Amino acid sequence: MLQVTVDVFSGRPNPSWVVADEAEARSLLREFSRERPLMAAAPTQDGGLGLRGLQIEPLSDELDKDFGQAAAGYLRLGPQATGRERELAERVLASMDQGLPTAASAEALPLETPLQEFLAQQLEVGSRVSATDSSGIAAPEAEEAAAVGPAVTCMIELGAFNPGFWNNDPTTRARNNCYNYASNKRTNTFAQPGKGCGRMYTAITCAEMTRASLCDGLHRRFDCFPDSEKPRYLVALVVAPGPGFVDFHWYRKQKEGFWGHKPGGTAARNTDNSGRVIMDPSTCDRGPYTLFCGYFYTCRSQRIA
Amino acid sequence: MLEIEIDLYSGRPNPRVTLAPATAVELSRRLAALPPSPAIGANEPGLGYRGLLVTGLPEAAELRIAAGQVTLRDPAGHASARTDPDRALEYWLIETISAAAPSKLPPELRDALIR
Repeated sequence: MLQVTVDVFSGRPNPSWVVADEAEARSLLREFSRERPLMAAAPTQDGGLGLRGLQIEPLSDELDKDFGQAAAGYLRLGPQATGRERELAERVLASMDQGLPTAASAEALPLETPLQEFLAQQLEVGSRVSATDSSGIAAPEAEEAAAVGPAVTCMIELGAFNPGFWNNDPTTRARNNCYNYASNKRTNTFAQPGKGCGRMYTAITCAEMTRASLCDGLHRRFDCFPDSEKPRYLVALVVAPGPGFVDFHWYRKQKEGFWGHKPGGTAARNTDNSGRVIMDPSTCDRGPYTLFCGYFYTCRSQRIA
Repeated sequence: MLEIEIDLYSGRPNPRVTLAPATAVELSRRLAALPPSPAIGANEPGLGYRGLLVTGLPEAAELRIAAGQVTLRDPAGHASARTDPDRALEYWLIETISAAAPSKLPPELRDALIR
């Protein structure tokens, strides 16, 4: 048996459960023992509010003998957590479904789906920040703002640039395109604007691609989404008008200030066709994608297929 | 079965074309005649035409023909590279695809790739 405690609350007791299934407990411990450098002996004191970490503890002498100090410990999470630490945490949180509540967690939230969703959301939030996007502030994309009229400020989210998520697995890399990347939704379908809402584009023009994207649930920039639609990413649409070469492409603004993109089945990156970091998708080197169609917001309820 | 993927789009799926066995034989012959290249290209181009990806040749599990270089991984997993002088092999294959499957590679697009 293995005990898991989520270090998340401030006032209430932390949720805790026991993984009773021997095979599952061993599988989890084996995974943790391979990532020993990520484990700390005890919680840090500067974890702050929100999800801070996971405490893992073998509850039988056999498990302790087999894994012991190689597995037990504290996995630090929070805003600075790496992709691998988040992956491990997701793996552990999935064991909550079959977990048995411990006596110590009797006053904590029951181990139900809402808690699991809350924790998953906390994990997700760590790698991104919310920010304001104002039409009145001079930015590289200022001309877009000028057309809006009275000043508008929307809240958006900016995710940390994490190309490994898209590039390391050959299937993920090959089956997800620029629209997947901009939406930050891996579907493995080479997603097409409008397909999610059942009305895919019928021509590759700015007007028709915009129609299809709005149909999927995107908004034009400065048409704000409420907080319930987090994450709301700022994305940019461009088109290659031909002759001959006709296609569309998307960029997404990242937490670091630059823009990321994924040209088709190739690697996600933050550089343009000249190898320069993209600070402004309307002026960067886009090769044949010469038409800049505009900026949009994606949202949680976006339909994508 | 010889299959060529024209690696060019970002949003749309790339066109894929299946060619006749006789084309595979001719491609193998032309490939064998190419001089070896000292370096295997590491740069991956971004937006726009990126080259031809070939599957179905007995001597190559993976084959990419792009910008004057051919990179190849044989069935045992060994990587090697050859030079494609004046992009002659690449252009021949583009012309062959356009002639065999004009709906996948219409003249306007063919011209955009060859210029």
